[in-house]
Amino acid sequence: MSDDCAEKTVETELEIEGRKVKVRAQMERQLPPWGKTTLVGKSLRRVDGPDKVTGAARYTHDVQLPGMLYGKVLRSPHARARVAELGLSAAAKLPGVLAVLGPGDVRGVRLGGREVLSAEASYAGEEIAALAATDEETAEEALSLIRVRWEPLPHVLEPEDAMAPGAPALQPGGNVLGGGFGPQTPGKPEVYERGDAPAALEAAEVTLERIYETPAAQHACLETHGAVAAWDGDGLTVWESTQGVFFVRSALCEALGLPASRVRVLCPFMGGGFGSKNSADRYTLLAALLARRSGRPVRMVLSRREDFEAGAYRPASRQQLAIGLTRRGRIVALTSRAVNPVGSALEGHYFGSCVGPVQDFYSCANVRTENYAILTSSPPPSAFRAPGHVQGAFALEQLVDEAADELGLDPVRLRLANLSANDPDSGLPYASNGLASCLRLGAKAIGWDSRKPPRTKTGRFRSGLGVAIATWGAGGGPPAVAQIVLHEDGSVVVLTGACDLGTGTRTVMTQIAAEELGVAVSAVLVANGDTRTTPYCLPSFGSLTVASTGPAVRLAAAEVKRQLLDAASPILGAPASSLLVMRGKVRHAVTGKSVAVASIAASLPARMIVGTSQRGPNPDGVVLASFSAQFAQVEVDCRFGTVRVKRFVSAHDCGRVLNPATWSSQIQGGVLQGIGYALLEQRTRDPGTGRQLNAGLLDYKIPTVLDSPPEIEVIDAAPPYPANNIGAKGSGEPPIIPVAAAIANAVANATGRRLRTAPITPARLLAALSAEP
Amino acid sequence: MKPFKLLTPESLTQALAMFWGSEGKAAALGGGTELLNLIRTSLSDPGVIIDLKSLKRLRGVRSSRSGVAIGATTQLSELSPQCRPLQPFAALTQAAAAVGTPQIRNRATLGGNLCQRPRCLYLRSGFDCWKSGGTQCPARHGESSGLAILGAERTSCLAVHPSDPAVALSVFDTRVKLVSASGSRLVPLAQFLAPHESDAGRDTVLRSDELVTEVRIASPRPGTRSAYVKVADRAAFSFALASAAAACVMDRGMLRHVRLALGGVAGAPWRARVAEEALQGRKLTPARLESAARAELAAARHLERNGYKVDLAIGALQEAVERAVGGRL
Repeated sequence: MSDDCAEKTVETELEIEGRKVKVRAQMERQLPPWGKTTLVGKSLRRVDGPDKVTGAARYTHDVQLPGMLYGKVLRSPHARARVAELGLSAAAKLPGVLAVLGPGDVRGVRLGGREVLSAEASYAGEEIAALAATDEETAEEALSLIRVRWEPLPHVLEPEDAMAPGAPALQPGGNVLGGGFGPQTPGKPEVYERGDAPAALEAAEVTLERIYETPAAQHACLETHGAVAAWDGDGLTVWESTQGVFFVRSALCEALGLPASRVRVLCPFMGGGFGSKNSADRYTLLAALLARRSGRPVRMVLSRREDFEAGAYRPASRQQLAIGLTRRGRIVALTSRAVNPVGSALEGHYFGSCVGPVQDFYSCANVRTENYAILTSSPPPSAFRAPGHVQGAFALEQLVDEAADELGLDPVRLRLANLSANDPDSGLPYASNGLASCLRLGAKAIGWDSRKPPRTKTGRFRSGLGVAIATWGAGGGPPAVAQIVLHEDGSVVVLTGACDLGTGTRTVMTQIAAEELGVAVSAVLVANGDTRTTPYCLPSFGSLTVASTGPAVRLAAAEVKRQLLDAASPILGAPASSLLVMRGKVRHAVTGKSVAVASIAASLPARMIVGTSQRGPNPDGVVLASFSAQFAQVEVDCRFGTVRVKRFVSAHDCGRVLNPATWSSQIQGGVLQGIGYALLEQRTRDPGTGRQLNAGLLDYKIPTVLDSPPEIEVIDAAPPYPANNIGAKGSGEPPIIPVAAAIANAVANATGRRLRTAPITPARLLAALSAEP
Repeated sequence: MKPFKLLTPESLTQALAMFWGSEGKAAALGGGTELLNLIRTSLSDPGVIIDLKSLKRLRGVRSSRSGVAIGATTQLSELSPQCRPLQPFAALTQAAAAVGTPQIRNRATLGGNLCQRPRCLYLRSGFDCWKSGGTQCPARHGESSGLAILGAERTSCLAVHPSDPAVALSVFDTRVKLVSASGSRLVPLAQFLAPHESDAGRDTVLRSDELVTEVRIASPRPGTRSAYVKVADRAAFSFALASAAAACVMDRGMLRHVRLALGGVAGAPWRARVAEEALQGRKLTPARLESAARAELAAARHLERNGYKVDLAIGALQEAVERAVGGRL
């Protein structure tokens, strides 16, 4: 990197979870696109696979420290209640209990604007008190000794009730907020408008208006939320099952008044996040506070029940959509009025948005969306794999199908005719756009031409085909820093702050570094997710890890290679520009004379080469998005109202695929999660008390392997992507966005009935089948 | 989880003495797939757990002149079609295979399966209810989608019985052997699963000093063919939304003998006697089968969210008979 480059910073834009943000970025050295690659693009086996299958990989749940205590939390059984009296002394006196905290002990310790323990519970499951004991059983017994005198307060669970006049106000400004990240006007929705949608709807040749409903869905991470905290003097070390160690660190620093240098957060391995582990949570702070009070390390790992009850879910939605079209199928107007219940905390409104698809899936001049976030006596929602778009796509992508039916047009053709060459919102061109290819290739793979109308289908088992699409901002961007160290023996360590959620980040970064450096995969170790030893980056969210950290790793490798060739130049008696690195040797391009990388490094005064680089800005004037088109073939059993997904095709434009094996796995996982959302999953609670009724993996029904189609076919339909030096966009979230709509559309094609409420349960499907079409 | 004492008896006699001596505080451990859940969720707090797994006499399937005897700690995975003595009881092997997951079937025992507590979401979420020792049903006016539609007007608890095998066993002459230090008794399955209504907290007639040691099934009439059908939302690891078992003897298109039972719709397996009567001794036709199934469900009463079970039960009854008689319908 040249010096003038290092000093120059520019403003650039990146999109995280559908939210565009401006950041400063350092100009980066321009690397030419890779030509023929030997490692990138290959299905390299997971570098940490053996550690995972042998149990050597240490997850947060596995952390055991000398003298470690077990933390437990007392939670509110009431949807809304004041703690009139809290008796902690019996618990504190129990032998083995070393620390007990109530709201009064931690006043002023805040997380996201909320006190870490509440003296007034605003949802069932809210944290009221915490304690730590020498073992889990003692901690549980101590919890049962805590005496609480509750003063129940009026609560409200359903958004319609919360919006009604006379409803108890859950926050001083009232229960009605605007959904999303936009500015707030109390009592008003967030409004987006382009063109004149009401007038265009009025004038349209064909209009349809429909209501769609989606459930609250939960992440059900294999590793439940948890942290282990240990103090060393005034320094704090925290192992956290997280997507982003730096966000956890900043939350801890802010809440506890500590400098970043004294807080170390580690997450080398983690068992699933899906958006629910982007930062510290209350249990993290409680582990740190209990550890400080007791002088011992404290493990605070949520039980499966707590993991469900304490919150983290995709909010439910009720969406009223309207579409206006010409008779020939040109979309001229789209509107959405969306109501999203977002729990009791003000910050919940960030996740109470589902209008994105209406704004950005199709070319349409006249769009208006109104987005309400409604406070209810429920836990806080969180990001969940493509927040908002999953709900929104369920509605929009069914409405487009309904319009196709109404007009007698083929749903794939109708979509192709309304795709937008440019980003419909900004009007700027996409850096690359393979959506039409996704639709064409996917349609071919599923056998779309054989699709028949529902009226031709009779009998008990009826087969149907459905399609749906997605657009998702997934270009990544700064900040992401990578450091690569070439050691004296030629071995290489790649340091990145990025957490590997199980998607294969470590493997893919190994491929990028080894490809660029010209060394063997076995020479490279990726160390990640440690705020003390690895450099800064954003959490692994927003489908951004590969497209953010990947280019930084390639730059750092290029920088190490530059230094290596400079050092080899005198040894080989040739200019650095004539040298290249291949299979662990620096070689003269013409003479073939070579020297081992290891002997160059060992000859250096520093005995090592260090390269540090950061992700540069995104290009101006273009929009960065990933695209997908998905196709479902279902079989409906009309006797029992059950749906089997028989085949599924998922076609994607995510730019360059760095590792087809890990990429396919991630997409198949997203499809399975989408099948659960379409057919099985919903957070169920008692309508009276608001307590969750299915807080466990038996009753909160994620799909099993028997619910999966035999094969989920994944298709790469990407054109070249020029907007970063590795040519890759994100693929974490696009695979879940269209799934439920594709399945609902297939059910409609099989039966002639529209299931506008997810999940499509036997009860709902039987009711639809017995109703008049 | 609260601490408990684990006892491992070496003989049935010793086990019974342990139960006798524990003054009602002991719990029997089979596979543990249910007991451990109950302890974890504080629905059970046994001071003593008596592990029956080492008692060889309680395990395995034996033929006798009059039928078959299945030891109480026989794992569900052992009740397979490959088990020769069980070949006349296809509905049972199909029901055993429909339980949970392979991991659960490899641990869970038949005796434990019959002694399960209801899977009612309210009971399992720690609500105060009839089954947890209270005097109310919070589910009745709440999330009622899993509740009973048959016989519910006669019971205070509206939870459905969760067992798949119990439904299949209901279409055979099944008796459960209960043994205590003071003797033993053979109780018909329906009676075993029907504690007196004044005892709403209980699920069976098993006394606290008694053990289930065996399940005895009488040989069915010659020519009997049976089947079990389970309807669930998820393909595995789910209890039935509705299920049905049928045992049929067909003779030249005529249903000479039929026994039918429904699961997932009542507090215990529901003998579909109305449908049996409508079908018995008559020519089996699809129309007659459907009307018999509908007649059985005419007595169904539903709450706000469980009405869909009526259609599922009608369909399950039809399908169980269809499968039992094979292609002969």
